[in-house]
Amino acid sequence: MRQTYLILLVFFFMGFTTLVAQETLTGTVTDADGLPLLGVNVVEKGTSNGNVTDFDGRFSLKVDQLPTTLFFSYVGFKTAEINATNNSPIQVVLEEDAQMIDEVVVTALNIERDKTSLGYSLDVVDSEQVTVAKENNIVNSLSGKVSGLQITQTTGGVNKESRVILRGISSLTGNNTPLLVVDGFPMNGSFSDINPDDVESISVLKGAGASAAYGSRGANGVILVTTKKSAQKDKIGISIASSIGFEDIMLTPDFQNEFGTGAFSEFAPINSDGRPVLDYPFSWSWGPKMEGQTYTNWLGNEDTFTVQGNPFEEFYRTGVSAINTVTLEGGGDKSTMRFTYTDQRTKGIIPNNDLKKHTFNLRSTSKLTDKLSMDSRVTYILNTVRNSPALAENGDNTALMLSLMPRDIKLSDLKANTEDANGNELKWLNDNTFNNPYWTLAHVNNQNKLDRLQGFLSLTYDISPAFTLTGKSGIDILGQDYTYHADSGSSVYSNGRGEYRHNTNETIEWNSDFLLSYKKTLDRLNLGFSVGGNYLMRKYNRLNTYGKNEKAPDLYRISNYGVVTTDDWESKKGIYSWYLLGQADYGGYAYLDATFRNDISSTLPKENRSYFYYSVNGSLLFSKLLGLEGSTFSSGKIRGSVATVGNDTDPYQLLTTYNFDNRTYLPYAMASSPNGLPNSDLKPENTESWEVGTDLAFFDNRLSIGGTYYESVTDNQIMPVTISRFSGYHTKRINAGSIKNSGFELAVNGTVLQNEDFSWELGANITKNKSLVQSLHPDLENLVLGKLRTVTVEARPGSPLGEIWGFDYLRDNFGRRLINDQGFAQKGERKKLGDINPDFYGGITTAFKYKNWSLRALVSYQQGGEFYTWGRGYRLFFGTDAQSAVGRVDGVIEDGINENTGFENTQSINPMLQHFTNVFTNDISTDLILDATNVKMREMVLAYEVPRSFLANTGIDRVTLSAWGRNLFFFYNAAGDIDPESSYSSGSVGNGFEHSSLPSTRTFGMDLKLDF
Amino acid sequence: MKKYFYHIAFVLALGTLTVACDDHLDKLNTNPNGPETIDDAPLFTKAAHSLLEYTANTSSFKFGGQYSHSIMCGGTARTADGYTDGFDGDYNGMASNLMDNVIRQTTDALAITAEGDGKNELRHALISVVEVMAFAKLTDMYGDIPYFEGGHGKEGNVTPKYDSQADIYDDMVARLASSIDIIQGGNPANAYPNSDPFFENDMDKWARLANSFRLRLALRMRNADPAKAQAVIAACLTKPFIETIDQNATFDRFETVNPWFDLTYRWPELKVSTKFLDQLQNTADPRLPALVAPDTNGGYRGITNGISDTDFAESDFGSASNLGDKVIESGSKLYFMTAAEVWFLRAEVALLVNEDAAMANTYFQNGLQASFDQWDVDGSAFLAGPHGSLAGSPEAMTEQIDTQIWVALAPDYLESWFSIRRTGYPVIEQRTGDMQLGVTNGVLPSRFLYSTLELSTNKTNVEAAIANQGANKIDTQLWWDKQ
Repeated sequence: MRQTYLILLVFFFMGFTTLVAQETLTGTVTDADGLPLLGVNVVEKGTSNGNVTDFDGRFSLKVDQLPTTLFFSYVGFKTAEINATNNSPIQVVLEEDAQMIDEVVVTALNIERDKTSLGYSLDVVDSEQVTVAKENNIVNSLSGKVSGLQITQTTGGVNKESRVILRGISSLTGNNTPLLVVDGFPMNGSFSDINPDDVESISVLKGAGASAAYGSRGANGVILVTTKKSAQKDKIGISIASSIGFEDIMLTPDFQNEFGTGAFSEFAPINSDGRPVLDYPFSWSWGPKMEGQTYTNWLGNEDTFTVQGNPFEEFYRTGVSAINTVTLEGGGDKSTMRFTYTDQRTKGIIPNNDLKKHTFNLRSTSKLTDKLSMDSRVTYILNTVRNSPALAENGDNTALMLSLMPRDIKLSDLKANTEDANGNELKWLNDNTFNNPYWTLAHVNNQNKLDRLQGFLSLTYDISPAFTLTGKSGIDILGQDYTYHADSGSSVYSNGRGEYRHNTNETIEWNSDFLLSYKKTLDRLNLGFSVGGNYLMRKYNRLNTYGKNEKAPDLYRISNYGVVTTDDWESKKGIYSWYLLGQADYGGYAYLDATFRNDISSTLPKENRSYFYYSVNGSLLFSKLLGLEGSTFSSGKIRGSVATVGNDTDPYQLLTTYNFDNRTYLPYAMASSPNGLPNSDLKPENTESWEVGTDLAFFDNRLSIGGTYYESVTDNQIMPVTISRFSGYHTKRINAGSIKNSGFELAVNGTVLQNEDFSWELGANITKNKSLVQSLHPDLENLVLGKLRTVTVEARPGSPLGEIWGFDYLRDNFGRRLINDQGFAQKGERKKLGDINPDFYGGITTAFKYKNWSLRALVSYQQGGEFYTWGRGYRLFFGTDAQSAVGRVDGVIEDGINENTGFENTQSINPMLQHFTNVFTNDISTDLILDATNVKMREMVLAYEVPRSFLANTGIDRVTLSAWGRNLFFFYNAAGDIDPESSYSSGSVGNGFEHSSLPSTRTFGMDLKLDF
Repeated sequence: MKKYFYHIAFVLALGTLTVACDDHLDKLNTNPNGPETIDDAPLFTKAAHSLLEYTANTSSFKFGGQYSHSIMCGGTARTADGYTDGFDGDYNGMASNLMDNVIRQTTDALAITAEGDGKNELRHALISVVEVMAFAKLTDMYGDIPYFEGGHGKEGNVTPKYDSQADIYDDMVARLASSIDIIQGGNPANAYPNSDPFFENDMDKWARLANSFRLRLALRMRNADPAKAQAVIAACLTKPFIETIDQNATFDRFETVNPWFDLTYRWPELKVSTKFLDQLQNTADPRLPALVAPDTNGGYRGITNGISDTDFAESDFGSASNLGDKVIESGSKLYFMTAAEVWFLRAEVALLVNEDAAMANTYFQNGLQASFDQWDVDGSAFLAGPHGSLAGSPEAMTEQIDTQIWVALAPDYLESWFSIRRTGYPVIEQRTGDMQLGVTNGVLPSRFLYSTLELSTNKTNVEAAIANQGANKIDTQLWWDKQ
């Protein structure tokens, strides 16, 4: 801390060394269109005397004597040099610098910077990339466009989440999702609460060097969204954007089409009630060959035994999504305002799954006095999602039910026969983990209502030409109201008695901060210092109510349930932070940035709760320094960055508290400690990282190449580790482990052809990340990060983070499978079967423009990486998977040698028993690990702008029409009929598991945008 | 000077804030959702309540019930009847349930009552009895387990060492002995008034349960360590036992219905095993209508354990006999330990230790009477008939007694399986032909596996246990499991 004060003092002294001047020069700075430019640096040549322009582009500067020379410099514009001979107002018009125009980027703490000056890798995606071909979840629009960013979509209905990882997984068990920051305020949770139509730009801050100013939460990188302000100055602008999209099935598993209900190639025996046996295995698809013969179907009716179509294609519908946005914007000399309302209505592919979302957004800027300006935004989102689908192992998961249904079962029969005369569910098999999917649609429903109010107010006061003080405060209130019910009649829910849940919770995050900035120019050296502080307060509370034993049908109120339990909980967390930022640039080619930050978190023990970290970034435009710039070599830059970032943990992880049992029907009180053990000695986590990179441009900037090599090491991770259940507990929170991520990112963009009417741009990026578990806690040999059945995704010292472990076949020393006398393969040892990390991944973009037409396309690719498909395993032993058709008539002979004789196995076995034994009984997972390599047609957009001449006298300024498609098809998919992007979890290692996912979908649609 | 003033004020303000925020942050991180310290009563209650509920756990209906050939499950729960071992989640869950809901609480409660403000010898003894009864189930399911170090995660031991079953049994019987001395004559006011799920704070019943449970353990040790077992049995005989059905340890505080009702009618659907039904029918046992419901044709029909999938499909499972109304309908209970079983255990002691066949016969008949009373049936004809008295060679009499233990334990099927493993009665033949042979070649499983979670989180210790005990297989025999 002492050093911090010292630096503070030094910088305060510097502020008070201003000289007394005699002459005052005034003037206005505008761009070529006459629009005033705010914040232009005005410096008297040869001195440190300077000022910046205000909101109206006006400046005033006191000088010692006349004549003198003034430099006017502004990011994205060419520097102007003006001789002032008298004190009459000076009119300055700055010319845009074509070479620089796209290089202004928003960086940490919402500071706009020249990209050249950055010492770290930062990618910007502009609004056009997210407003056309809109995704409900904006982050999906970034897929394939940003190097270092890995986005894995899940299959989860209209409001599915995506797994977002920047530069690999660094936190073993914690959150690995980058921090989302909107207009300078960290935003909790979902990326889908960003309205694409309000987005001005998205900056992706990849390394800790870029994001250290955000503190602990920036350790996984930052995705920085800047929302639009009004661009109108002199009139009210109105624009209307409409988008309609359709979603349909892109990929489903391949089913076998030859064999129907039954087992051992026989029909199920008929029970005394006239229906066939609905128990396993006779309710599986291992019966006779379907040849149109007559049989007794699951309802006990005579029917013809024929194959039915792909149940996914019959059950799911085409989803539709309509998004309409109205924007009103305007402004005068002193203030601007922009208001948008967006209405989104989406119907998902599951027949009762829909979403309604209203977003209101008001952004305003205002100049209150000459020195005081204000910026504010209020956003309100009301989002209602009905019937979010159940995923993975769940009787409500329609995809699981459909994929395991014997191939002769008619969906029309299931639809027409959902319950018997007593109101009990009818289904084709009596296992209680299963449901008739139509019964599920009608009787198991949920609704999730999210209310979100966000707002911030930012005041900037120009204390003096050199000093600016910004204070801002932003709040984000997220309320959730979730109801769920399952009617009585299915043994899956509370033994047939029905159940109901009503959960409400509220999360409030309140950030307040100030930033005092100081600028100084000394000859060719520009200096900037800022000191700031932040207070973060986060509160969460919930009330969960659960009822079972329904009293009257179709009434979903808690009083209608006989047994009720409730539980409520709240937590609070606070972090105080201080930070110092410093920037220096010399001669427009050498840049140095430093950030120092100290956080004090409530969640850590007193002695460890204050932690300090920093980042230092440097950048050198060597082409300018060495005078190499020409038409062949346009520019060249090298950059580097070093940073450390600390991190805290969740509230209440230091001491155990007891919980009372919430059952109300007992005459006595019961209590216990929770499953997780706390730790009173926790220390902050620490991530150290560095990166070096270069940005090169050739042929008048028509070809640009950017590359970065990075390394980051996360130590002392705070994590709940799974411990032996014989300890009495499930997890213990510890500081442990050291994870290293290293890799490179490379992006190449080029304009292949360009003339007046036509242009063709081509770009590609590639990311290769290598993660390594350097160490774990001394007591831990491995750490389970995710588990599905007996397959785990693990961290093991010396190995990549994310190895997939599971049971292999029993083998001899030569790797040959050992087959027993009955002809079955056997369970062997647990071993590494795969790795969730891709070898490399990225995207290829291409864009054509011809007059008013443009076409752009994005192909994303991933090489390597594996995932475990339990969905395939399930379908195999239920006999519905295409691969299960093998050996139905003659049996199958397992490859391998007899364990007793050593001779090649010749014993034939029934394929049903083969799959059931290997997959279910023995959990042998070797064959269920699939390669995730794929090349996907991610995005295609064809846009047409109606020529302005057509619009004369219509009152319409601009009309843009576009047709688009997303996730259209695979050019290549190593996993065949399973989409590697169909995991059920968006967690850190969620991409390692597939389990009976909803079918992968493609979306396509049309956009229309009218500007008045 | 003025500018210095501002600088100094600013720096001071920063410093003051830093100190002030410490208190604020402490307050923020104080968990408002539960107390940091607690009386031991709600912990004891949770442990005792959970132990009673455990008799209808997966371990009982899916494994114990089918392994003991008392019942057959429908649905995928039937897979356990096939003697396979692909039940990793169950193997983890069945141990975790007792550790989480019993041992975690008893460990805390024992510490609270051992010293300091909460010191209470009587409570300490009651907690010890509950803990021993839970550990006994654990070791009889898995074999070697972490007994001495188990449950002590809170003190930092997250990789507890395993103890041999012999050492565990030695300590369990010793703890029961010392606890019984304290409980006998203990002042109920110092125990758990209004918070005792077992006996409503009746110390006499607690002493009887603890001593009866000790006799059960002593008999399990009998073949592995005869001398030790002999000594423990002798000690047991000096203390009171559960003798009447009002002393039975039972449980009926159900949320909705007896769990066996839902297991029977909802999922997985239970049917009475042919072997169990044959025993009752062949001996004209009066408990038949209490323990077995008529099939849909009004007669009785069981399902045979171990049959092939095809035979199962042809068995018309849905129409076979359910568990009897007195086991599952309203007014029914769960049974943790009963007078009937204890009389039979005492009969076995009389026969094999005291070699007093007359005494054995008296106890045998007391056991039958206690069981008839428990199910509220008239057993006078049975008692007068050929199966109502012990007869034949000692081995034949042993078979009679042990078979009756099996019948009397229902529906506490986990203990039924333990009893069959100990006594060999009723005889469960090795399966042959097209029966389900599983991974044991048709031999009745004798333990559960250590789960993959345990193998990965406590590898060194569990491997030592495997080296001591034998392969981690379901047919590895445990220390006491010697005929």
